[in-house]
Amino acid sequence: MLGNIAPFTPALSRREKDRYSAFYCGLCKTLGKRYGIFSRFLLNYDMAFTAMVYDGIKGFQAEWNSEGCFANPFKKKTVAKNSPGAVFAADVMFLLAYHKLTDNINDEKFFKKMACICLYPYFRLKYSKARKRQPVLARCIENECKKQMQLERAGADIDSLRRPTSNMTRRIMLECAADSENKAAAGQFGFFLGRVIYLLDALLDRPQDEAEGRFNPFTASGINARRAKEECFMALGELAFWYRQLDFGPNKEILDNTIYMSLARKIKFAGEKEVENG
Amino acid sequence: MDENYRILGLEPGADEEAVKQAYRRLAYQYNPDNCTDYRDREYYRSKMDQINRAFDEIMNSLRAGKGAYGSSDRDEFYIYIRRLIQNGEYDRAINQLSAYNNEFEAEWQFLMGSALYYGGYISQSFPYFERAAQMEPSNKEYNATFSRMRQNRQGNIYSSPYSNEQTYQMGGFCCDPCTVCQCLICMDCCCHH
Repeated sequence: MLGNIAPFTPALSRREKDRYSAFYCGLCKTLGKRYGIFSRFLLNYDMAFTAMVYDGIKGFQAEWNSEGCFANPFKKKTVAKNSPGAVFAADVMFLLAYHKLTDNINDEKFFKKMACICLYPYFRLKYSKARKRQPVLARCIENECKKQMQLERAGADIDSLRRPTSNMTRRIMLECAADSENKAAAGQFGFFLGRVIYLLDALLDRPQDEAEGRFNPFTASGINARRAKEECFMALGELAFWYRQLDFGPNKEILDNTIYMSLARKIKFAGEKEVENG
Repeated sequence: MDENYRILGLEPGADEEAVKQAYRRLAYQYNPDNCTDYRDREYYRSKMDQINRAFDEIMNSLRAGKGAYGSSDRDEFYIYIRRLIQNGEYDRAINQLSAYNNEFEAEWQFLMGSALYYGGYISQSFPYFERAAQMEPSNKEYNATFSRMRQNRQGNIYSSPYSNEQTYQMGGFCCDPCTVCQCLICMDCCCHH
């Protein structure tokens, strides 16, 4: 589920690649400060995306500094410092990571299950911290995760199954646009972002799920591979419609790339072998 | 009352058919969901409110004069359904359309498709839009909506700043991101990505 909402970097200009890197590094630094050293290992592209959306909608321009890197001590990195988007994304990360862990404890096989159970106390602690900082969001995510589990167990149709994820992402985007005049559009953007995430995840995991006998919403609804891709594209088209209603300031180019190019490519090339560099 | 006719762009005393045609034209023009620039949406929304109020008042006065519903109940029904969809009452629109069930009409197909689409049932809406465009090939609204959906479905996302060629023919699938940061850390240490 995590890591799909990232730009297609070969198509980004050097300046935008640096900007994206700065956001990513800024998020890493913020995580370390707010949640401790080990939290940095959970850093992912989706949260960098959330940070950029948050700052973009709020019109916030981070200051860029050159700082040392935890992972590569020999290289100084450009970091987007003091970004409220990074602070928000750090909280959201733990809210979501905790629920993913509990899902894994319920769904996964023995060894992975044991590993997750060992990590549980650490996640529980960080989750409580994140929960205090974002109480409304935490409650919404809890409810939607419960609903998701119930729907999957009952074998509901694909349109109902993707609603909990969509409701969660809608709530996250509403928080991003909390004081903005475009709250409604941001909510719809979040709603369809959740839809795309859910469908893309199902599309990419389908071969593995079928091989291991795990639940997959496309298989359960009897939708073939071609139709599944069409579903994803239509959801992406809808996401693009709401994306156009919002203003993301200097982050627009990276977000354009993420939505129109990166996600489109992921859908198109799902299940296919990697293409040689042309 | 003259003011209401003026809002719809008509001469005072225009007949029911002219009023309905004027309303349909303005509803399509000022539909906030068709607005590409988010800054105009508020203006479009308030304009739609004004148009809806003027239409209601004129229709009420015309109906009061007649004493019973006019011959085009069907058109009024469709206008009512459009209003429900604009106000976000998608489930209600779907229920009303299902009860009315006039699937031989292109407008019914189109409105059912719209209610399903905006209600979030995208895949279910597609056949309705297709049928509406097939039944009335000259209708611009049906054709524009259907071709936009079909374009999206084929992977050519409407309003993308990139051409299809740019999006899909650049080789080199960027390294498939792992769910943890180690991938990025490793790449960054070993090669500059």
